[in-house]
Amino acid sequence: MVFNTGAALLDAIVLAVVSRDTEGTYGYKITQDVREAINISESTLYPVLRRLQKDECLEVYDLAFDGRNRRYYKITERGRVQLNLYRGEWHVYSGKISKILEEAG
Amino acid sequence: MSKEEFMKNLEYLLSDIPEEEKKDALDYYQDYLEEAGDMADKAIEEFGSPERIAAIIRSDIRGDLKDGGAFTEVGYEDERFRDPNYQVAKRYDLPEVNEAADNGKTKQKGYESQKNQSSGENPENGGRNGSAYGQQESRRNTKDACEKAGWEHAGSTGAQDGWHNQRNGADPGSPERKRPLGSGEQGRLLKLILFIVLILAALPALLGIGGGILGVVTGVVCVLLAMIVVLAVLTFALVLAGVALCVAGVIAMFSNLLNGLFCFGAGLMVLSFGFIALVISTWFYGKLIPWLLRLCVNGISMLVHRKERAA
Repeated sequence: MVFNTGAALLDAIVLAVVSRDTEGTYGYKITQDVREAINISESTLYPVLRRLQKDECLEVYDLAFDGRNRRYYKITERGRVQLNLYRGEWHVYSGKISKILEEAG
Repeated sequence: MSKEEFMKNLEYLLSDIPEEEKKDALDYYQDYLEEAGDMADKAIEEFGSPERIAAIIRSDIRGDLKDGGAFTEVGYEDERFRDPNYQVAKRYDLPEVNEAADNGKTKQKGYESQKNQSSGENPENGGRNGSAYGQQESRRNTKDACEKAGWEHAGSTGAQDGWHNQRNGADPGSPERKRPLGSGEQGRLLKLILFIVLILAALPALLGIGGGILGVVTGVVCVLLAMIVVLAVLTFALVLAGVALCVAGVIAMFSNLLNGLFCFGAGLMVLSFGFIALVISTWFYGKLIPWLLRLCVNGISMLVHRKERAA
């Protein structure tokens, strides 16, 4: 089970959110998107993004925007592989939990 | 706290982490606040304090950030960084060298920490510390206690000696560091070294007294050795001479009866002396020497035994 620590699930969520924008997306937007799904502090995602970037699951590039640089995060091939792994794991795990909870009737 | 103020504080707090990490973090948060636009104030409020953000970044660099976070039914949260004011965990997070070097800063933090300590009756606060910090807690509590002691000192003696006192205060606070002298491996080693030093220092005196004793002992031993040899030779010679005289007397009797008888008698006499010597040497070799040897062995073993006990 990869989701035994919160970190893995958070990685999965961030990868999923970033993968929705093929051109990449930026820190503030990622945070707001994730916050639509789960309640996280505004300060939670910087280390997560940095970790994923170091693991080469995300790549970054800077783009001029409004007279300054905006840093965009984009999912890499490796990131997609990782995301698929998480999705598979989540499917199995959540399926089992759902089954037990529903059978409890 | 304004955006500029926040960034300035954060930059200061991260001044000792690697340049690349620092720039990356500062850029991100600068960027984030720019994007937030009108919501920047709210974002800063939710960040808590620059100290909290700095602690999270440090924790990530150290690699233990992953260990703390947890999902609950309301979302994702890292218990360690929950407090928006973030004062307690901050203490634990900063490297100690930095604290010591930065006197003014330490003073303030120490005071805050003390405040936290004294407001420990607050059940919400206390409860959270207990569950969130786990095994780190004991260590930090000790540290906080030390600090508290140190800063109470500082209050009365003036801020200038502040961290001196803090350091002094740290010693009684950590009993495991202050071992009683002479216990354990180190104590034994220390004792041995002291013993050697003592022997070296007393060597001249020992040589004076010891020389005298050694002379006497050597004399006694030599006499004993001489006696061992002489007694054996004497006994052997007397018996041999006695037997020889007896035989010679018997032979002499054939030519001159009187002479022969005299010789035989002398032989018997010498032989009796020889037997007396034999009895003495039996006692000497059979009883006295073993007794002396036992005495020596016992004495040495007692000496060694006592040495072992002392060591």
